[in-house]
Parts: sequence; C-alpha cells; structure tokens
Amino acid sequence: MKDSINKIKRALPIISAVLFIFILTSCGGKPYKTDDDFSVTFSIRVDNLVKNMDMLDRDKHELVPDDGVLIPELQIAAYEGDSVFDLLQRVTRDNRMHMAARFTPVIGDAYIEAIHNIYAYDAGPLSGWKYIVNGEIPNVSASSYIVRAGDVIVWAYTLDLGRDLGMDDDAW
Amino acid sequence: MVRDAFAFYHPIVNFLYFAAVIGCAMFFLHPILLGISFLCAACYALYLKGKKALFFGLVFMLPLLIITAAMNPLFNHQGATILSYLPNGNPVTLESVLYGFAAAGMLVTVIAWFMCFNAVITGEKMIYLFGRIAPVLSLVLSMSMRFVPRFAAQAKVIRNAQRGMGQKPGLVKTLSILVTWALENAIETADSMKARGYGLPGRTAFSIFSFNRRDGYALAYITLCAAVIFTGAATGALRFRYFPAIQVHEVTTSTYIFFGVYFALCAFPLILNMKEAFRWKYSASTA
Repeated sequence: MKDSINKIKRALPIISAVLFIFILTSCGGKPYKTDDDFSVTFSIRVDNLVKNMDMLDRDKHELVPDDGVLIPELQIAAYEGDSVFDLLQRVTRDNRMHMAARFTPVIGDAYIEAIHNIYAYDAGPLSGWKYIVNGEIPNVSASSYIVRAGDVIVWAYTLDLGRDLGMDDDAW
Repeated sequence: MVRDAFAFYHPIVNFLYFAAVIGCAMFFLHPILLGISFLCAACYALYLKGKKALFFGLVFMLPLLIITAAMNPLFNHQGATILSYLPNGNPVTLESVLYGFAAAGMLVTVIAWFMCFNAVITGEKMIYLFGRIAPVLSLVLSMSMRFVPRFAAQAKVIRNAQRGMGQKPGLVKTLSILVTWALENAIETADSMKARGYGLPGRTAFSIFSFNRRDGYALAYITLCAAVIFTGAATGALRFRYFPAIQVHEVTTSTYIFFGVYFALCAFPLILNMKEAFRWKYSASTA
C-alpha cells in the first residue's frame, strides 16, 4: 500500500506536467467542430506563371498546365470551424496532389511553402502562394481564416507579393 | 602500413589527384558516379588501412549513412511521388528519400576519400607542398594531424607501463600522465625548433621528392580524365535531377564514356597497385 502511494507521489510531477500541457493546448486549439457541413467553392490556379514562364525555375516548367488550372472550381463540403488551410490540405490529399507547409509552433500558424511542387521563391524573390476569398486577399494566415458558407476560395501563385492578384499596397 | 605504389609518386601528383577526386565526389549527385566514387574510395581505404578502415566504416560510417538518409525526408518535402504523410500533414516523397540516400552516400564517400588522403599525403608531403606558400599553416597542419595518433600511441605506452608495474591502468591516471607528458613535450619541441633555427630567414626545408617522367605521365592522365569529366558536367550529360521528379539526362554512348573515364580517374591508385603486384609476380616467376 505504502509502495503504491510512493509510486503515485513520484509520478505526481509528471502527471501535473501532462495535465498542464493538456490545458495549455486545449485553450488555444481549434474551435469546436460540428458535423454540419456547408458548401464552398475551391480552386487552385497558376495563371501568373503561365503568363511569365521565363521567371520560373526551368525544372518546374513541366508542372505548370497550359490553362493555369491545377484544381478546377469545385463545390466542396466544409465544416464549422474549418480554416482555408484545412480545406487546402483536404483537397490536395483527396487529389493526391503535393502540398507542403511550414508550421510555427505555439501560435500554430501554417505557411504554405508549396503546392504541386511549385515552391515559394521558385519564380523570383517576391513569388509565393496566396489565397483569395470572394475576390479579396485576407491579410491573415490561411490557418486562422475560418471559412463561411458560400465562400469562393482561390489559391493563386503570385510573382509580386500579391500585386498581380489585385492586392494593392494599402492592404499592408 | 602497406606499400602503396601511388604514395611513391610526387606530392603534387598525389595532391592534384585527391583534389580532383574529392571535388568530383562533392559535386556529383548522380547515383552511378556516386557508386563509382564510393566503391573506389572504399577499396582504396581498405587497401591502405585494412581492418582499421573496415572497423571505422562499419561502426561510424554505416550509422552516419543511415541517420543522414533517414533525416532528409523528415525535413525535405519536395518530390512528385507521395509515399505517405508525416503526422503534421506534410508529405514523405520518394524523391526526398532517394535524395537523402544520395546525399548520405556523398558524405560517406568524401570521408572515405579523406581517410585515403591522410594516409597518402603525409606531414612531410604537406610541408613540401605548402611550405613555401604558407609555412606556418603547413607546419601547424602537419603537427595537428600528427597530434591524435601520437596521443593514442603515448596513452598505450603509459597503460603498458602501468600494467608492467602490476597496476590497473585507470582512465584518469592515464590522462593525467598523458597531459603532463604533452606539456613537457611541447616545451621540448619548442626548444628543439628554436635550436634548429626555426623562423630564421633563408632557411629551407629538406625534401627528396623529384618530379620524374613517371610523375609527368600520371599528372597528364589525371588532368586528361578531369578535363573529360569537366566537359561532361559542363554539357549537362552527367546531370541527374531529383526534384520535382527524377529525370536522367539522355543516356548515349558518350555518357558511358564519361562513366568509364570517371572510373579510370577514381581507380587510378588501385590500377597502379594492381600493375605493381602483377609485375612483381611476373618477374618473380621468370627468375
């Protein structure tokens, strides 16, 4: 009996540490998800690359389709609390398409490094992936933008920090 | 140490050979070129150092190879062929796994070449090669390269002496004696160098190296091979693309010639040793 109490006593710091971490992570985690789904429009495009192929890394030319459409406009199901990043991850996985992201610990933000092996900086120092919701470019991480029913989401490759996607400098 | 035919060549030949071979090993990620280079480096290291090289290879290089190869797909997500997904959602790709193996193979190959380099280019040759260009640096290099084996040898002497006195050689005691010996030895070395006029102007270093016709042929052979391989690399024939999808440059007859020349370059010391061995046997049987 005494032995088991001692064992528990010894384990106490570990248990409390685990609890502490659990509480910490549960506070800042994702919003609660329900099963109610709604539909959003989703597509991935690289029109800017088609127009400026000479800017792109030679080895990546074969990845760019002539019409600039990687994923055509799809009506997909989204769930309450889904972020744009969640949708991107789901769609790319369902289509066996390559997608790589870098995660910032603690705040849990995702930075999209690559879709379909087209990486940020592959077409000049100002190039990378941006997402457009209903024609506007939100200035937040894709993992913190929560989608709503009927949203039209486009992932597009920019060569100029979003200016070529209709984002003006005032947005910063 | 074994009698290595290549080590008897002029130091410039030795040095240029290793510069060419290590340079190529560091820049070519083509699997066939890597394989050729690794095979030659491993054979030469085994020939030069025997069991020691085998032990080093199995105990240090094999784990290094496996760890480096396994690390790459965890951090590099490039590649078109998705094998599976990491817990954080990023893909593990076939290309990144293969690239990891290639990079690890390159690391191990370069280390193996440097093992050969250390065996062939002795301190004496180092001083001869760089004594005039950078006298202090070459002296420091040759002294520090001698440092570790010398310490190991002295530690053995100390342990043997302790055993001879009927004591158990302890690590701390051995180390203490070793450090005392090293300090004393350093002062003696400094005194000795001063007594022999180190740092005085007009001093020359003695060497018995002479550049023969044989060395000229060897130098021409190495330069020719290196030039052919350089042409191959410049024309892109030896390019092997890993990302986004593996792509091999069109294989033609010239590609095989480049592979052959690369093998001829990497295996040069082995060929020389084989020639020597053959000649020795041949002359022995006729006599």
